[in-house]
Amino acid sequence: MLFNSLDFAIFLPIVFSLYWLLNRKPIVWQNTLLLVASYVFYGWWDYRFLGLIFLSTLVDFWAGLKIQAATNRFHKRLFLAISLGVNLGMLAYFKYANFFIENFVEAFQIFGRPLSADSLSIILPVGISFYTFQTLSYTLDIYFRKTKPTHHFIDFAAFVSFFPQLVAGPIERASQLLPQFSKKRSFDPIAATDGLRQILWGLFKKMVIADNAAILVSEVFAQPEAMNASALALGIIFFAFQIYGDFSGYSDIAIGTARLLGFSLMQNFAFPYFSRDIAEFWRRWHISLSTWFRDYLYIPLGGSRGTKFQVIRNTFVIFLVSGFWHGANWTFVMWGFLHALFFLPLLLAKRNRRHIDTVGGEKNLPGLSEVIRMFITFGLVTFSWIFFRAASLPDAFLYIEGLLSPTYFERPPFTDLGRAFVLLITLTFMLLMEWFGRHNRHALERFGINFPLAIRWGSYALIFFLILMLHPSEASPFIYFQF
Amino acid sequence: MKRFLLKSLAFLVFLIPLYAIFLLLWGLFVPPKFGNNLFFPRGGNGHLHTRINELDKYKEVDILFLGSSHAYRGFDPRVFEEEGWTSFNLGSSNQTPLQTHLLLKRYLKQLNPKVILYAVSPESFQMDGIESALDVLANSTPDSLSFKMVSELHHIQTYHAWIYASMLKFLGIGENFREAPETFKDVYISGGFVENKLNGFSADFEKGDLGSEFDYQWTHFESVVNHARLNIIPVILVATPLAPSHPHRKNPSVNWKERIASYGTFIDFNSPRVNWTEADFFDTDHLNQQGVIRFNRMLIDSLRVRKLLEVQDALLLQ
Repeated sequence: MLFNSLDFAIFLPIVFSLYWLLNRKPIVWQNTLLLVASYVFYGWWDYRFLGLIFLSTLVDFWAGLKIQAATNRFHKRLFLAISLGVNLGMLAYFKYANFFIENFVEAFQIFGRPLSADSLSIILPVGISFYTFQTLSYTLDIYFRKTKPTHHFIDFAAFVSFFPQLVAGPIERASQLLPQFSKKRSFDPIAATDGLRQILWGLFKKMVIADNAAILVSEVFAQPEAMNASALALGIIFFAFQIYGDFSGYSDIAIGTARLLGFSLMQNFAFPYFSRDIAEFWRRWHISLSTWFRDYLYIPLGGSRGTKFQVIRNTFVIFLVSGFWHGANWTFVMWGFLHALFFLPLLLAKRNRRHIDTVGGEKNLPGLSEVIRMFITFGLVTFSWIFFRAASLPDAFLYIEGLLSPTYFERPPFTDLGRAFVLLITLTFMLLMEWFGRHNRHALERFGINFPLAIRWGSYALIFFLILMLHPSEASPFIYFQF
Repeated sequence: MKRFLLKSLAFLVFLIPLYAIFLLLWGLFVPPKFGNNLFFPRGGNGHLHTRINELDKYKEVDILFLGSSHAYRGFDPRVFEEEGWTSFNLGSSNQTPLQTHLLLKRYLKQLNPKVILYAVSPESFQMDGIESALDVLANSTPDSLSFKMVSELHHIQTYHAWIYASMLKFLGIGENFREAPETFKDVYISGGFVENKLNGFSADFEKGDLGSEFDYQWTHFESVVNHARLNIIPVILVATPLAPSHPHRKNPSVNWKERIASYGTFIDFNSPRVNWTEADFFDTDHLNQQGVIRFNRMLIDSLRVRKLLEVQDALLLQ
């Protein structure tokens, strides 16, 4: 079920009503409802893959109890290995099997040994990278004694499959989210109202910005050789906002939905395009994944401690793995590699924590040096998106070659120039809203807080109207579902 | 919780009229190419606005023509007039059975025809009907029938077009709108026909397969036939001539033809016995004026053989 669909618009009020009607019953009633609702939500796409979620849930529930009960290190490691093996095994099979088969065959061909092997017809289950990482955090946290296992299977199953963040995050830690399932939730009208505002803003970013950008971006990337430099430049800038609008929009809807149900999820995006360097960008972009890799990969490897070689190695490992997590393609690895290259100088010069405050401070406008830094950071990030979006490495290089042509002042040959014009206007609106809301969890959190009620509600109505007026007629799925 | 629900309800009550106002302002002041979801082709293709306006003058015709551009570009009331038959052409651009059903329910009593000639083609069952619905909404008065059509299509553009049309009607905006009867290629002829002025054939577009049929179009098609039958009006289903290069001419769908024929009298002008050449057409789908006259005379002969109008006259006399 897509968040931006009529199905969800009907599903959510039903779940919301039933959920709060059960508030006076024991908590297991609400958790059971969430579990059923989450399985319905996921099964709406393809019920066959519900078995994978259930398997992952079952194995990790059992492994968590066993790790806790184990009396020696060997047994602890054994049960952790089973959890890692099952989850990463599923991920490896469904996401990476074809990649390894194809590269294996190509490697043999390079060395003059032709080999033939058929690709497997594997469908990638939606959200598998997200829920396997979330459930893995449970067994890892128990192993590292950061949390204790739950003895309530329903609570745990609801935690793994919690529908607001099941298919594209935020990837929650067991230590943060699981306890929320075991304590009584009370309805907080202020949080619920703000949840609705966050959903509204998420829908705007997804349906107006991302979905319109997607149409233009697809046109440019479909045949970059037929585009002039102005179209290519606009194409990749639009993609930067497509992926931001798509993914941060999804996160906003997920967090807002969870708040309606009395849950608090972590912030996943903190206005990343206002970052002044790459290190700040990574503290603001897909925060739940970056911190997951930091806690479970980077720090266990030694983090920024150790010799210079170890620091460089650890940095490359985390960025390359992060790239590979996004998809089984060398383009994602290259994207991760570029970010490692951009990040490393800051780390080695110990300037990676230089910008931990919010840009512009309490001022309305940023200073000139901040503007320049933001532009440079945005430029680097956007350049790396070329590899993220291109179908293959040669396609990405073809795109870059086109960007080098002296045709920046030619009119971009978009089929629908009107759409590009509207997108530029709505992008400006989004950036202004986000700039003035950059100190908050989302752009609408404190928007118009001092306005008269009619003006504030009128503004929400206008955003709602713009969503329905400007979104492309056919709803498109969220980009991160494929990861 | 109660306060939250009441506040949410209050916001909804606040939102609905404001939404309609935003929609009206958008429609009036924003150029159409900047709005994805408000498409209001008043005075668009097919002269439907003029046709609907002209309808008031017509009561009790002998023949009512229905269908897509195959109808309004294919049945010329002037040719039928020569035979002493009055007629009105209620075709519209890309009309699918969904719109035919609506128009028939709206205007059948007023026109009270003796015979209905319904131009049918496989394409009209393969189209979702949104484009034609927008044409109908923009060029006729919104009513409960058109809202039923809108809710059945369940598409944001049709909802918006209906609300916008209702707002225009409520505020009396655009009541004096009149579309030009003549464009560089067409001229509107009284009685609903659109005559093409261009010479020569141009197959400038590749007609692709539109995909599978929509079940609801067949349901509405059945309703059209049944509605006419309930009013004791015979319906003649006509496959209008297509150019030799048309895909349905080259590879006719036998199943579709058999299914159509099962609903009543079906006259197929694309059978191999009829010799149409590209000289009779101005594009792949439509006859030029010379072709229209030839086709209409053949059709009149066919109707004479069937004595349908005479039978209806006799029935009326009883």
